[in-house]
Amino acid sequence: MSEQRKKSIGSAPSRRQVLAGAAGTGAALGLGIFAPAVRAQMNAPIKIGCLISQSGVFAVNGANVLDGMSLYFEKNGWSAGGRKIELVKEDDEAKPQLGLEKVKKMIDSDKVDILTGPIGSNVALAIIGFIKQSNSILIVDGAGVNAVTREQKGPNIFRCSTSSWQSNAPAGGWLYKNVAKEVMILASDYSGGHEAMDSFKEGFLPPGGKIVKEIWPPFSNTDYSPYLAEVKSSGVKTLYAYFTGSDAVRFITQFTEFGLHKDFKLTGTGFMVEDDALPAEGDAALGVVTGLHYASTLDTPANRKFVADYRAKTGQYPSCYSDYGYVCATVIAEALKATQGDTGDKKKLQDAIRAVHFAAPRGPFRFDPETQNVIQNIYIREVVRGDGRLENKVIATIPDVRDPGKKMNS
Amino acid sequence: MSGAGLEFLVTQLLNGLVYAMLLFLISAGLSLIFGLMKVVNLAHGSFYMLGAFFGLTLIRVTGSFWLAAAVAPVLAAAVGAILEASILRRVYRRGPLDQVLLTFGFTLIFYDLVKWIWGGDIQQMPTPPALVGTVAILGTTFPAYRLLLIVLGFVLAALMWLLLERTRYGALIRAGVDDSVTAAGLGLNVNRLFTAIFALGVGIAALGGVVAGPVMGLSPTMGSEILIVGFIVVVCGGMGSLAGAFASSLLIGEADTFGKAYLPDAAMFVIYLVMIIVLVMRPSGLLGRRQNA
Repeated sequence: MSEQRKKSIGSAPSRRQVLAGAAGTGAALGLGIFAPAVRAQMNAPIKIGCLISQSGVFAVNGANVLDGMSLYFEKNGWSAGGRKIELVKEDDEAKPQLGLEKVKKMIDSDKVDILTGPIGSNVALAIIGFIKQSNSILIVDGAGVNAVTREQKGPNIFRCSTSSWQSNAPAGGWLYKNVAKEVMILASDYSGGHEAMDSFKEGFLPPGGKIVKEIWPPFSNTDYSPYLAEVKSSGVKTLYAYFTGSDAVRFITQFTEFGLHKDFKLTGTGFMVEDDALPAEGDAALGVVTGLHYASTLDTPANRKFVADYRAKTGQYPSCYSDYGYVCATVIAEALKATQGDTGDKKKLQDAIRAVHFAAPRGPFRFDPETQNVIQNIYIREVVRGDGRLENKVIATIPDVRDPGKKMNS
Repeated sequence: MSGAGLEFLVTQLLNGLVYAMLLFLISAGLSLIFGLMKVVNLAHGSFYMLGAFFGLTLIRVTGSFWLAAAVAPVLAAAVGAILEASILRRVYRRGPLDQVLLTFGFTLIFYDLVKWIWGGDIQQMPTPPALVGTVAILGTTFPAYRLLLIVLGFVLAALMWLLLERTRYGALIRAGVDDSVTAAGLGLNVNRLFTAIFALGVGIAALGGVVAGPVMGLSPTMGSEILIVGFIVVVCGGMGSLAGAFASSLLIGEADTFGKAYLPDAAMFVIYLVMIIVLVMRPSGLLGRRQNA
């Protein structure tokens, strides 16, 4: 973090000169009608607030988001639309109340122009009321809770990551067609797990799929052995699971430790075996089939470049969270380019964000004008032993998946 | 009962035993330290974590799980001994509030240290190659490594019992637990005894951390996760009683496992319910002596 700061300070004078020149040119072109205050604002750096977990359950995911975001801005000289970019980072520790405090601080005293984050759906739900009230622009680059772009949607709220529905329902339909007609569900017993499973059912049940059994271990669980014994005695051969963070690592390793991988097919949400968890899971994750909107193995020019740059910066392979940060930064930069750095006119800025579309590492990216949620490909991936590491190989692509914007079948 | 039902039952019984043994490793030291020094040591979970991470590094350097399991607890015990002799000793005479505040401070420092050195993400410790896979036992299949944990727990419990009940050191410790002032008056070097017991308790917890690694993974929050249940075990077993800690570990370990298996909706609640029942019926714990407070 300190390194970035040093870099941006070190290169600041020259950029300031450029900006001064740009402002001068602008004035000469007849923009002199702007009040002096507005001109001063145009010279000031654009502040992007990042409400991102840097500790707690999502510590690693948060670090990935920030790395992805910094990577983009580094590659683009920490400026967009002719203005300097400055990140204001706050740690919500995945706690809703703390998240709300930090949001108020960033909006009221830091006066951020655009807010990004959070990772935790609980935090997202806690801050969304205040965001709507304050009319600040929020680009969600983590939280998947459907409501953010459904019941709670608003013109100032965007999501560039994925909705819970997008990362589960399409996989449900695909699994029914290609893997199994009957599954057992295993998911963390908290709102995120329940929403993921409800979404999965919306894809899996309509074509005729059957859920034989549901097992709900508590969130942040350490030992899954009592639940694995239930799996063993159930007789169902395919599982669909949702676990995140440390829960995913523990579940997958213990699943294999009990020898269940020999008799059961494990499928689930892609977060369970993303590149931030795979090294810890090791060979235990081999053969797990999941759906997600990203895979670091995607063979597109945009992703190849992203993976190479990200590895050069961090020494690690990017996860879907790294792509969130990178994509979020791209959205902001593209929108600012369109408004020529103007953040004063919120309506104009929102229109510009809504119109952003580009070839992201994850594939074609655009916003749904209805919900302001992202429209993107969903990939079905299988964990295989790749080039010196475990990786998610893409075995099927479901193109242009759009969140329905409301609960289906009800 | 059908064969599948019986197999399910046996598997859960074994699962409960594994958890019980890990609980015993953390609660044995907690109970002894409280019994002897009357210190509520919130940092005990940190030593469990420290042992695990020391072990992880030792495995990476030496490649041997067994060497790591032997050396990591010694290192953690050394850290514990230094901490006890230099800082913790000063708060024995103060109220529990000061002790809790101080040891809670330690947990924050250790949490940040571990996060700083080893990172905040969960890490997996490799299972010793000889114990990878499952074995057939009592009509079911069970991971070999977990069976070893059960054996290890029973062996350690027996060794500690022998130490406390059948050796001169044990007699000194028991004397200290009963009445440290009188024991000191009779010429017992209480300071050295305190340090030794603290180091022993810490070492056992650290061993628990190392052997839990291949099963549960390592993270900076692993200490606080197990500490809460560790305290429940100590309270149910009776403060300062090793046999109580063992019996209570078995009770809580099995209750938690069977709760999760048969009452999944109340899974988080079952061990607290057991604690309430135990404390209502025996306020000083299963095998605890009445405290003269």
